[in-house]
Amino acid sequence: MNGVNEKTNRIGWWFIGLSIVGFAAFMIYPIVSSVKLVFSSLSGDSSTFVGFGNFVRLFHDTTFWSSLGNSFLFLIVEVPIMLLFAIILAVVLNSKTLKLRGFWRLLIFLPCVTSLVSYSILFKMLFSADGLINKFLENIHLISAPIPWLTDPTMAKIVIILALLWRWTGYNMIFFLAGLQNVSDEIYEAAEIDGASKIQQFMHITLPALRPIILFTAVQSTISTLQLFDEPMNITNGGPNNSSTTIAMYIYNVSFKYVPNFGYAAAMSYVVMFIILVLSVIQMKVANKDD
Amino acid sequence: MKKFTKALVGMGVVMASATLLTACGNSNSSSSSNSGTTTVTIWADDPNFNVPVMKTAVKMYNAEHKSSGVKFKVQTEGDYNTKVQTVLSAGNKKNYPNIIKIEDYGAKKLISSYQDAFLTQDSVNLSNFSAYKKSVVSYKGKTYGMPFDSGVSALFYRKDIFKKYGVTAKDLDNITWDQFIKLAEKVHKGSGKSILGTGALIGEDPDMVRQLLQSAGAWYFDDSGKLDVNSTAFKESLKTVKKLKDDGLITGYSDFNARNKALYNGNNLAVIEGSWFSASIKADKKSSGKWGIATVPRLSGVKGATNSTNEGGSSWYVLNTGNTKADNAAKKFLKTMFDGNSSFYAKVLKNQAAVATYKPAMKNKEWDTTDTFYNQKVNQYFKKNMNKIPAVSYGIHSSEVENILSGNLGNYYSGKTSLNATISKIESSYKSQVGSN
Repeated sequence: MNGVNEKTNRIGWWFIGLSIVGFAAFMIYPIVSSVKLVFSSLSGDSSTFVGFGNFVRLFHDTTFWSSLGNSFLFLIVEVPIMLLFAIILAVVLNSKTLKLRGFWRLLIFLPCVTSLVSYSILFKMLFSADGLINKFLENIHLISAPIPWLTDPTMAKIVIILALLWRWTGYNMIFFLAGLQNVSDEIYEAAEIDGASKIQQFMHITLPALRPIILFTAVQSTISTLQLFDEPMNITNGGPNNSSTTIAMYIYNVSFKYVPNFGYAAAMSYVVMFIILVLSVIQMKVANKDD
Repeated sequence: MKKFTKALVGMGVVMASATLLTACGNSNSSSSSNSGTTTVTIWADDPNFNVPVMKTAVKMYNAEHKSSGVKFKVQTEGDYNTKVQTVLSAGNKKNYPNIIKIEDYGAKKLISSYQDAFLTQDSVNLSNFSAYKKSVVSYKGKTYGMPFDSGVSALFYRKDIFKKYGVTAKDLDNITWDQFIKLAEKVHKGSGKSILGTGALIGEDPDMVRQLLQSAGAWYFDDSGKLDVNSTAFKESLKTVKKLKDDGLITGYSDFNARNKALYNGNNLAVIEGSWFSASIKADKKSSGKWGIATVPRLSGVKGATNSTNEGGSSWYVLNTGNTKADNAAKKFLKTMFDGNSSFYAKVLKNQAAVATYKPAMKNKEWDTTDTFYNQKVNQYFKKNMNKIPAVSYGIHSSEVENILSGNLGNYYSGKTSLNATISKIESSYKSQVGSN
């Protein structure tokens, strides 16, 4: 028996060996060597060891804090709205009485297969001063002058949030929809017989049943929102007045636009990673409180 | 569940760090020599301008050096500045192109950051070029770049409409901003149109501030490279833009295309841009005869203020690929064509409207012919003013400063913050962002 196990083991190792090599070369090695970067200041091809100098500098860097603030704002406003929409949509699309269910599901998931850059450019066009949205609002006489969607700091943030909602709600909905398949109809039937309203059913059956999925989507959305780059880069280019510059954009600028300093950029990346780690742990602790 | 959460944390950490740290960039050009022939790779970014210019240079050079054993390859690269910075950061000499175009504003940043990557071009005779180019292509007393085109600025304006409201070409010649604002107000009140336009929101547009600064021989930095936004020139530049804005004489468009549209349909009557912008004006063929050019107004009350300035322009640099044969061939090619061949310059002036800074070629009569679109000797204007552009050192942190400016100037122009408060905010942001470097 033992011999067979050993043999299967060996074959198994062969199967995963290749991906381990790839993982080591392209993930583990860069991560380990980035630790070295964090403690040095690189100006182009000259490198000096600065210890925690990058972190001290980062602490005083107002641009770092303001872009981190922007990223957090997107996180705090967009993620809860998106997840709520996603759950509601999932419940509606799970209803047995809904006609053309497959069609609606497809329609809501479709934005997720569009490329980030192309949908961002489309949003930029839609919301430009003489874009479709303004033209439409003017034609139905809702507004008399074009709304400065992309040129007003608050409006620009709203446009980016709208874009994110459009792109990612369907993606999260799929997870909830999958989660709902595991909830037995009998529970709802029993609840109905006991006189529970639809809202009560949602609050006391659906939501608890979806808890692990909510956790998963919340953690994943937190990670991706803190790394937000494509949308602000393409829709507003961080403007106006740097009001939509995210931390990932600032890291990019420090690496590729300004005097290149990969050490400083790596230090910022580690701070963001640490924040994500802390947020993820908190979310898990909150979600698993009763376990 | 426990296992799942652990896996999730692990995944999160790896994903977060990996996506943030792995910067993607690939290039696949080679400058290697294979059996006898040496390949010299040239990078440029504008398929309507510097790419055909380079192709012309290669064609003419090859005709004269048939048995040199060197093959030239001109490549058009998109997303240019990022690509150049990425290939230099990667530091793999074999992947370097031999010759690259670098925008004058960004040259010092790249040379100082990647000193080993650049080769000096000691044989360039800088006295052959417009004086302001010298500080652009030099670093630590050595010549790194082959000066190429100039962005000598001009006021492009709708002369038909200006004339309608009593403003002639003579009125606009060599005046101050105060005088210009008075004239512009006349046209603005009469026509109801915006006078000047910028290709970005006014607070985010570096072009206007840049041009005003350089017209007075100033920049964001002093000669030693220290931030210098407390200068009279800087303050006066900001005040001028604010005055234009308060009087409704300037409009900031969301991007360059939006501005071009406004220029073509007559909603915006003038623009201050580098000579290369002429091509965009001329793209609207039906407005032939309606446009004119004049000098850029000068700042009032600033020492050294002139009516000449610059926006953009670029030079050619040779990279150290480790392949001596290709490196030397690249240098020789540049020296032969760009610092010695006047008929080449005449050709690209005619075909690509390349306003180059090579002085010996300016004797060519092509510079003094009347441009039928403007009905004016446009190239002659460029030629004359190019040599009057005040020389400034662009420093290495211009991108950083411009980003800080776009975060702060909007509030000043809208009246939310005072001039002095804005400047001290810019200074403190710069200090905190650029840090010890």
